[in-house]
Amino acid sequence: MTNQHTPAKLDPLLHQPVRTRIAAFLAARGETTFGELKKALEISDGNLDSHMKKLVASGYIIVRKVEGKGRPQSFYSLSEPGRTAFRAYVAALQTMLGL
Amino acid sequence: MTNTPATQIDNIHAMLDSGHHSVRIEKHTFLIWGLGGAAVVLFMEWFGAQEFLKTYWQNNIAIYAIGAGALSIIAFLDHRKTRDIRKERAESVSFTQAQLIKLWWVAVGLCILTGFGMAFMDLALLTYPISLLIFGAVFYTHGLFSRQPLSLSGVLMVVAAVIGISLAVSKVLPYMTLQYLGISVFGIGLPLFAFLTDEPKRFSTALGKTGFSLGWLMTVFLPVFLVHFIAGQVSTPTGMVIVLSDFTANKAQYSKGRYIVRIPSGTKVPLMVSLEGKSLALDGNAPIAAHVTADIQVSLKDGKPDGRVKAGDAGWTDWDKRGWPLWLKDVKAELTSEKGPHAVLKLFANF
Repeated sequence: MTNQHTPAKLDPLLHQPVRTRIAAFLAARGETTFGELKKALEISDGNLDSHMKKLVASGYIIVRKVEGKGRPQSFYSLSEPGRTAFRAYVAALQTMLGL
Repeated sequence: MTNTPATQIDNIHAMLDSGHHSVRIEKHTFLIWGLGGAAVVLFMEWFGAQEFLKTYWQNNIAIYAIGAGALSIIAFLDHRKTRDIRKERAESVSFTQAQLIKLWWVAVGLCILTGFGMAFMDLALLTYPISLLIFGAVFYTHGLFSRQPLSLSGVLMVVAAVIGISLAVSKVLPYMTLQYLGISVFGIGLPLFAFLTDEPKRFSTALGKTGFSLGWLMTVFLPVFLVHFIAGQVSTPTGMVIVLSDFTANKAQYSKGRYIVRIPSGTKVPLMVSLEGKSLALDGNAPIAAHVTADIQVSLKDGKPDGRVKAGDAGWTDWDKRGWPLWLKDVKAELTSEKGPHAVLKLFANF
């Protein structure tokens, strides 16, 4: 069967719905803030924060901090390894679905 | 939340769609560009009507320089305001939006460049440079969303158009050569871009880009100059130089052989103007007294011009190949009790 679920072949870090959505949003958008991600994903601060920490720790997401007036702002984007991993993940999904 | 491959693909599509549709124009952008743009147009029209500077050239250069400066200030103010608002709301400017802002500036630049060109050239003469500007903008746009160095291709096409217009306006090249430029850019320049896109790493450094740009411009302009000089070669006439009064007084004497008639500066030249229109007409029988502002020499063969002409200190040129750009600058129609109805037509001759 072509649509058989075989998670063993998939990147475990990206094969999680929230993290998949984060990676897809960043792949399309480029750079974004925590607030924009939260709004797009419609999840709680705590939930998003825990997934972001995993993706940042793995090196899939890079953080750019901008100092200025008021609080420093953090901008998140996919790193090159993150982008490559996301492409490979999408390709693996497509193979599994016979697309 | 399930994570079957089909669900995951759906999630990815939804988020890619959400990420791509991240472009938003802020309210202040409409206000700043709308009101600022209207003010710039009003000011340019008013400044043009005052004729503060002595010549048509100076006036137009000043008008478009002021217009370009004012629009740059508007662009800067809008950019800064947008950045501040986004920062306040802890939002970023997406990649797509950042590229679209550049396109906005390109569009403003094209408006200024074509407006400036049309101040000195008839629209028909600008066909080829405008085509280059449009295609340059299209290539630049492709480059904004591509890893290939296509933006450089677009910039080079725009630069070629600007150089072409400048050379024609400053009379280094006749207007007719702008069509050679169009042929050269499309026929030679575009195939050369294949090297740039095929081997982007070779041209990725500043030195590589500069080298390619200079090489490309030289390769594109060299044939234009060659064709101009080869096709535009006009041999110097060898006949005896006679003054206009001598020629008109001894028509029979100069009806055979080769002569050069000198028309001195200040000579009156009747312009036979005809006009067709729904509410105004001129049959062309009533001459308008123009006068020559530089000595003109005309080569004659058997009493008729053979096409070679020389104006002032310039070299001999071919009458037919040179092109004689002349266009209407302004029309003012009035009705007063003293003069009755009358109209003033201002023409500009770039020769």
